[in-house]
This record gives sequence, C-alpha cells and structure tokens, in this order.
Amino acid sequence: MQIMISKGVFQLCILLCALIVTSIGSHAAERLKLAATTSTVDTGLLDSLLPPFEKKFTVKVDVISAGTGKAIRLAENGDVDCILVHAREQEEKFVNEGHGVNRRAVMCNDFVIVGPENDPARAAGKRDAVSALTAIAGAQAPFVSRGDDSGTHQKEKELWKEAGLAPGGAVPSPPRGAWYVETGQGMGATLTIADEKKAYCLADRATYTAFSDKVGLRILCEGDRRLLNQYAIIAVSPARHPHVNYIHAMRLIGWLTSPEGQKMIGDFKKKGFVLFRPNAYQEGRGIELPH
Amino acid sequence: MLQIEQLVKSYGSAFTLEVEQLEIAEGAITALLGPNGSGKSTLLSLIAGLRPADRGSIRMGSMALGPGSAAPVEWRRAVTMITHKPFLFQGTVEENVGYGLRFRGTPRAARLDRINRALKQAGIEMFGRRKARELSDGEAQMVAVARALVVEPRVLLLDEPTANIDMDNAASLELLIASLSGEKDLTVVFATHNLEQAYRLSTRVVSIIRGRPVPAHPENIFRGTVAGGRDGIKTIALRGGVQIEADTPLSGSVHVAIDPTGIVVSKMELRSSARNSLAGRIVSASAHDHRVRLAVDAGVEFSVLVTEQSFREMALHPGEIVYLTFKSTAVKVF
Amino acid sequence: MSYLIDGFREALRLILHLNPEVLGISLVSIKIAAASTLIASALGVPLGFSIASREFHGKGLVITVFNTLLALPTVVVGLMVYSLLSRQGPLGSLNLLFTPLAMIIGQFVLAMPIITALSISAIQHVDRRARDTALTLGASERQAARVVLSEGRFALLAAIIAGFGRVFAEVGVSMMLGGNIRFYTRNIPTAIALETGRGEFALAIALGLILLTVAFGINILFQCLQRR
Repeated sequence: MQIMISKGVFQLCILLCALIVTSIGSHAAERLKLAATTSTVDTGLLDSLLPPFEKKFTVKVDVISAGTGKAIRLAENGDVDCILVHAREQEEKFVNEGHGVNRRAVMCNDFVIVGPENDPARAAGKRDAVSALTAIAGAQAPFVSRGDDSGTHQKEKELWKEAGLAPGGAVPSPPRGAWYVETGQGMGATLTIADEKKAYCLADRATYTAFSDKVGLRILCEGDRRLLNQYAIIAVSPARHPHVNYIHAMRLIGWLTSPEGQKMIGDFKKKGFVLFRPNAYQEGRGIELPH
Repeated sequence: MLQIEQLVKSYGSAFTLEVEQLEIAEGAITALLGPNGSGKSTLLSLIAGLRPADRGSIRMGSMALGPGSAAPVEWRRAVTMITHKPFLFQGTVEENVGYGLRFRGTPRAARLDRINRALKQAGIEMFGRRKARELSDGEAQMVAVARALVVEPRVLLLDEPTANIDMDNAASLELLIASLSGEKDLTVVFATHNLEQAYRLSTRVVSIIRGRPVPAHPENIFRGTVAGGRDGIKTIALRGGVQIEADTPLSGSVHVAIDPTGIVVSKMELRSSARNSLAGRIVSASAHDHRVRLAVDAGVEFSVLVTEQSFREMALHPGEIVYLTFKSTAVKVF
Repeated sequence: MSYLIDGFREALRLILHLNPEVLGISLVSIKIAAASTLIASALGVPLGFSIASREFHGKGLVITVFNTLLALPTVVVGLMVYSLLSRQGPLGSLNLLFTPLAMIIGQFVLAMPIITALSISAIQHVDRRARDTALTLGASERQAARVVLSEGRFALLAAIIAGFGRVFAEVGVSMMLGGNIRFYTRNIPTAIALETGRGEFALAIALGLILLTVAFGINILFQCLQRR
C-alpha cells in the first residue's frame, strides 16, 4: 500500500516539476531586459510607464534596478538589452567605444542636497552646491553617498572635485574621512540610511519627493545649474552582442521619446509633484530651476 | 536434496566455515546443533543465498550456487530464512506477511487469501491489522514465520528461532515447526544450541563445532587437552578433573564426543577391558522413544541411554551414584 | 515604535486581503524553490542511496565532501553561477542570467548537498536487516532497493524538506542570479531586501511574516518526520 502511495506521489511531483519549468520557460521569447537607474525604479515611474508599452508591443520588460555604473557594465557584458541611465560622460564613453547605439535623451530633473532638520553644517540657503558641500566637509558633518558608481554618485564626485575637496587625479574621487559614508546601494536605500544617521545626502528630487514622508530630511540646497540631472536611454549594440533583443530595445526608445511616452512621463506625479520633466528634444533644458 | 560440497567461507583470520560434504534430506526437518559462534548462522545464510561462499557449491535440484557470486532470485524464491531477531517492515502485520507475495507479483485477491491462511496457520489471525512493530518479540517472530510460510518455499531455514522469545510463543513455534514434518515439498533446516529442542523437532541432528560438521553423534561433546600417552592410547583431561582415554593421533587442544549408546551404566564399578570408568551422580532422567536418557554428573555432565526396562530394574533415580564405563574406541576425538 | 505597529497592522491587512503584490511575490518564491528542490531531489536522493548502499574505495571521503558542501556560503554559490551564466562566461550564450531558470540553477547547487548528505544518512539509518529480509523473501535486487527506500521514506522526505527550507529563505543566490525583477524573479527574500531599503515596511513585514511561517512550518515538519 505504501509503495503504491509513494509511486503516485513521485509521479505527481514529476508532473508538477514539468509544469513549473515549462511555465517559467515559456516567457523566454518576448522579453526585454532593461537596466534602469534606481531613481526611475524607486519612484515608481517605470511601474506606471511600462505596462502600456508592454501591452502595445506584446513584450515583457524585465527591469533590473542598478546604478548607472553597474548598468553600463551589464550592458558592456551583453547581460541586458538596453539601459536607462543619467551620467553624460560615462554614456558618451559607452557609445564611443561601440557598446551602445542610438542614445536618446528622455527626461530630466534636478538633484538636491538634503540634510537633517537642524542643519549643523549650515548648508541651507546656499544656492551654490559647491559651497554647500564645502560647508558640510568643513564641519565634518555626516554625509551619506551612494558610492555605487551611479549617475548620482558621478555627479556628487564631480561636485567634490570642483570644491577641491577630493584627492587629486583625472578621475573624480570622493573625499576621505570618517564623516563620509558610502552605502553602495540605490537612492531609496541611501536616503533611508541618511535619515537614520541624520546625515546630508545628494539625491535626485524625484526619489526624494517619493520618500519625503518616510524620511525626516529636508531640502537644503537646490537650483544650482550644476544640479541638472539628464536621463538618457541607450540600446546595446547588436553588432557587439548579436543576441540582444535589439528590435524591442529600439521600440522602447522610440516609445519613450514619442509624444505619447513623453506625455506619460510628464503626467507622472507623486504627492502632486511632477518628478521627471520629459525633454527628449531639448536635452539639457526643459526644467526651470527651481520648481 | 540439498547438496553441499567443499563449501568454505572465511571471515578474516578469525573464523572459517568448512563443510566438506553435507546432504540435507528433502521433506525432512534437520537440526544444526552447536554453540554460539560455531558457524550455524553462516551456513544458513550461505544456503539462503544471502552471502556468497569463498569456495564450493550448494546444489538443489537443477539449481546450483557457486562461489563468489550472489544467488539468483529464483534460488531466493525457493529458499527462505527466518532469523532469531526478525525484522518487520513498517506497516501492519498483513502488509508484512504480504511482502514476499508482492515480490512474486501475486495478484491482490490471491494475496489476501493466502495471507489469511498463513496468519491462521501461525495462530495470529487476530493480529492482521495491528502495526507490526508494536508486537512483542514472540508475536513478531510468529509474524516472520507466517511471512515465510505464505510464499510456500521449498526450503525453510530458521536460525535459533526460539532464542529471543517468551515461552508461550516458543512453544507455539515449536508446535508449528513440528507440524511441518511430512510436508513432502518442504525441507526445514533449523539451527539451535539446545540439544533437547534439536531432538524434539528434527529427524536428523548435525553438530557444527568451530566451523565444521562433527563426524560423530552430537552428544557428550567436551573440550579437552591431550595430557599424555604413548602412540595410540592418549589421556585427555577434560574439565572438572575428568580424565579419559581415547585412541587418537591428535594432540594439544581437542574435542571429544562419546556415543551415549556406547556407555554402560552400572551400580557398581565394573572391572573390564574398557579403559574408561567414571563415577557420577544421576542428575535427571527423561523418557525418550522407549529409552530413558540419564544426565550423569561425573565431573562433566554425561548423557547416557538405557532401556526403560533397565531403568526400572536398576532403580536408577536422580541422586543415585552410578558408574559409567566405555571403551577408548567409543571416544571420537576431533 | 508606532510606525512598526502600524506597519504590522497594514501587513496583516495585505495578507488577509490577498494583496496581488504579496501573492505574486509568494508565488514566484514557491515556484522557483519547488522546482529547484524537485530537481535536486531527483538527483540527490538516488545519489545518496547509491553512496550509502555500496562499499567502495573512498566512500568515507565522498561522504565527508558532501557534508562539507553543506557549509557553502550562498553568496559564493551566487558568484560562481553568475560567472558561469554571464554573457562573458562559458554558458553565456544560453542567455540565462536574470531569469527564473538562473535562480533555479543557483538554488539547485545549494539544495543538492543537503539533500544528498541527508539522504545518505537516511539510508544508513535503515536497519541493515531490511535488505536481507527482503532478499530472502524473494525480492530482486531492484525490489530490495525499493524496500530500503520505502523503509527510509520519512527520513528521505525530511531531507527533501530541509533542502526546500534552505533555498526558500535565502537571498544571496536569488538576488545575484535573478536580478529581483518584479513578478518574474522577485521572490520573498529579495523583495524584503528591496522594500526595506525603500522604506515600504508594511509590505516587507507582510512578506516577512509569510517567510517566517513557511520557515518554521518546514522546520517543524522536518522534526516530525525525523522522529518517525
């Protein structure tokens, strides 16, 4: 009797296994792998933006949330089909070296320097981001950085370099000191950590807005032209990696920069604020500082 | 019907079973008698086909087991063994008894029918639905017996079957074994260290000592040391200070066996040509097939046979002092 | 403190109302862990049985190796499989990275040593007489092997469940190989990591409760089975 039961159970398991594996495998065909910078994911932008695209073109977009640096490395490896990032210099290098094609601007917003309510370093009110950071460094006030090679991190390092507070060298690098902490994580996680430590942080306005009710940090410096944040989408070169889903990558690029897609971006609001300004045809412009 | 030839099985340097020639009669009940560690279990497991021999062969009808290789399944379906500590499978008694039939592919209806009959034969039909592992040792052994009988083997082997069980179940089991005699398609071989049991249940007793069958009547077997003597007649010292004389070329540590029928019992010391004369006290008497077996303590316990008539005439009661006389040629030394 | 209590309350609400996000993530978790456990069992149980049943040179060494593999850190497994599956790696052309299949492969590597090592132990604990008894009752070698498996079935089931428990709750392999893609490779542990970082405590707690329930439930089941 028991031998019969175990046989039946065994056959049932095989059946289950086959079902599971085939149901998982069947998705393989129409999938587009997009590595997108964390601010586009954490704010919920892609969650609202992609479903209409997926429906229209019968494709499933796999969004891998990664900082710009990591996204570019994934793309160079051919592990994704396209990237949505925001670090101009790195993007140009990526395209010039032949890894990516068809870079198109998509949207923009700005960065803000946020910090604790009591603002011990007195960074508030400084319209100049560089002087704000100088004040923070001078007071050795706690500062939490992305530290993950993301677009935000790149911008931050450029500012430190301009402030003369980073060790020298051609490549921008972060300042040294116990007050300066690198999390290696996405924007949302980094803001949470900064909040926990009552530290200063450079964040994109969109993610900050989405998180403003969860963290006790406030905006202390904004409006500097330097703080402009431009997002672009690039397809991985099919010449480099013949297997990539180039067609759907192109369709996504086309759609995001189409009037339809751009309108959806502009309509995306959190707490009454527009987080991303569509500027596919006006790169470097399209936002008036401050909002 | 079972023919064993030149069979050898060694376990390292510690122990070797050697059977030059042994025939087990078909349809009979044969007992293997010997102390623990004498090789009975090894011999049974070889006959069962569970272990391969190092050398030699076992033949049964048209099938034969050679050395080195495992027994084919046909052999194991004809020969079944019950051990002194039976292993019962998880599940009920009925399920246990049915295992052998399931291996043979017996269809369900026939299975159930045969299981019920086997349970009845073993006297455990009320245990059918019980969980097998909840039974006592004695009950478990009866399940094992039912499990073996239900497959209708040609050869049934039992290794010390009553060694570990309570008296009631032991008695039932002995009755069951005895009832199997006369089933012409069934050959039974059981191992025991109990002489009484061997005689009670079997038609033939084969003694096994230190891995070899004993070429003698399996009674009055003692260990001793050759103490001295010239060529031919040697003096052998047994336990209890007993010394006997025997005709043998062997020396050193030996076994002796004295045929009970070659021992003369007398109330007074005999003067005769017989070299051995020992005094002893009668410990017990038991009737046996129109003979009386006396156990006499003469330093070591002797087993002697007298006729019922002699027993009555000589008033040989327990406690009496008697003299045992036997020739040196009645002593087998090996 | 109040936000924790609020989060807890909200979490229970999410669970009771069968929130689609929670359901979707749980389903991904179950499907992937079940698939990898089944495959690891299909290979590990027979392997464990063979190793336990036979005598061969180096048997002790083999058993030691499997027991040692139990200590494989999950992130190291993630790293190894990642480097195999990445486009630049030897199996890159299979395009498996960031798919559920990649997670299944990684989880399989984690579950296999546990299931094999525990299967070896399970079979070794089956009374030696079981096989001989089956053989003397007329079983063929195959039938006798099935009997041994059957006698050890509770311990074997415990082995499989232990394997499932390990992969269901781990985050390293799932994160590195799956990419935490929503409704695709985002399972309970990776979702908890993500949502906690995002400050979405209610969702994280809801998922955490489910994970705890499954993990404890599995452990209790494991202990019950081991005792039989």
